[in-house]
Amino acid sequence: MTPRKIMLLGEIGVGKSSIARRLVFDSFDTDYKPTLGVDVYTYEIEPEPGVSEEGVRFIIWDTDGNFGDSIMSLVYIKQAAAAFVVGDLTRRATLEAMVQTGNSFLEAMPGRFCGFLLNKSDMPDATLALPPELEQCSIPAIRTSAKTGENVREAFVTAAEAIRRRGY
Amino acid sequence: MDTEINLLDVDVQARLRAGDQLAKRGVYGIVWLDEDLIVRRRYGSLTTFVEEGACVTHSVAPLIGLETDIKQLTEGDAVRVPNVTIVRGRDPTPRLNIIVYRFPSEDGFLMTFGLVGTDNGLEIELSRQARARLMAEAEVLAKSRELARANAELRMANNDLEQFAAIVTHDLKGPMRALDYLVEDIAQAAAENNGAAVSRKLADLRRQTSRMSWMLSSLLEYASAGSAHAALEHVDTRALVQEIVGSLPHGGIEVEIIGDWPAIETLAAPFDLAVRNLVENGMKHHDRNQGLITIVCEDKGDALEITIADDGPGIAAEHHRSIFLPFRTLDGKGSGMGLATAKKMVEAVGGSIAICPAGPGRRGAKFEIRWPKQVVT
Repeated sequence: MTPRKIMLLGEIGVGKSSIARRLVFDSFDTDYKPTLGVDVYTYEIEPEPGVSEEGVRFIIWDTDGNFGDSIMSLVYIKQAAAAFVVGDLTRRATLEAMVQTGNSFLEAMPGRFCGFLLNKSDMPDATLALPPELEQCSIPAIRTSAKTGENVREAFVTAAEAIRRRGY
Repeated sequence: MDTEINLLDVDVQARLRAGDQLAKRGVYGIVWLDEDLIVRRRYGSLTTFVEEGACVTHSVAPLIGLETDIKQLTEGDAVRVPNVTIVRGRDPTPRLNIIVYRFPSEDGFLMTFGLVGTDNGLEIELSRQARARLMAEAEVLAKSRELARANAELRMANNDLEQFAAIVTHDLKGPMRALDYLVEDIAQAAAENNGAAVSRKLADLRRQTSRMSWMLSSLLEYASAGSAHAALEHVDTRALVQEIVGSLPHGGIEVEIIGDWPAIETLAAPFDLAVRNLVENGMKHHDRNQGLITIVCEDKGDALEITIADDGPGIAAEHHRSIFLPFRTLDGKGSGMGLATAKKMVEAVGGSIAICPAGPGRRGAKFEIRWPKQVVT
């Protein structure tokens, strides 16, 4: 199975680690544990009959939100095949920062897949109205909930398909 | 605090001994790789997860993608992946600094795992506090927005109240005075036993009271306009404008909808009322059997600029301010509340409305609305 490196980027406390843990362990922990540096997970997407003969072994790089855009110049991003930029639907500032991060990734790694995960969709105060710059951005976005699991695996399946199509 | 020692700075035997000691104590893990990056030997408790005889990337996932960089290493250089935790099942490694050197006296590479910092707890606490501060800031921002919205609503309510008081004192004073005169006239006619005059004056009295009743109803309608559905909705502006135009009686007036009409999150009811009243105004006050109303939208990024222009008689410059007040009508047609309602709706979302000159050699009235995309609710 082909290993492919995928980055989880985004501001502090948006739920990057929760998404990784929901995907890999199918669990959710309400106790916040900040990621210091980078946590590296492995997750396999099985081949789908009729769609792909080969599966993808994702190496998920769950990054510290404190890196900001500086991560684009660090060794961590090297050879990344894709990235998800995560935002928190209850904190507008984190959503506003997503476009800049997404564009920075695509600038550093041209041609790679990049997607937006609009996380915490289960929260009562999750916004329906996105910042205009996010609405108008061409990077695909999907609402996710690491707590309920909504769209988490689906997002990674989409990324796997995009990676296969692009050949990275 | 990071502990990193360049093992290439000391002679081979000394560094093997030192490495062995550090590995035994769990400070360092040491792994030897061959030219194909196959793990040949490993030392220390930090390296227990590294599988001997397999490619290093099999167990050290952070090195995936860096194979070429490692193979191209020259003596003295290193590939470094700092501050990384490898999460394998429920048992993650400690946070590690991974460094791969080319080993000078043998074919292959030396990889070290160094434990990151002893002030881990402090870093975690700082990071927790940073996140708590960000959350608190977001909450303060949300509260400030809520307060700003409440203040804006209060300001608007005060303005409405002032306007309402002005209308009541000014516009309703006339009919009230007329009623007073009519009562005096009726009393006088009755005293003179003039039955015909009494009947005539009573009919006038009924007309004045029904006019006052209509004015009060219009004022009430104006005061409550747009407040029924004050929630953000996904609005396809072109579809809504088409629906508005379709619902109005055109007569001989053609309506063109031109430009870029995006879908936005906004208050649908005020948008509908503003556009509807302006288009209806152009139709109702047109002085010819045939005419054209043009509705154009331009997306200005943060706002929509909507122009509604007709080719009717136009509005003289001296009336440009007063036409937005309630009960102002220049040709006696309509209630005189349409433009006032349109203005109120636009201002309710933080937008603006203005009447502009139709342009040289052109007749008609042209209204410009600036409708912000971001509505504070």
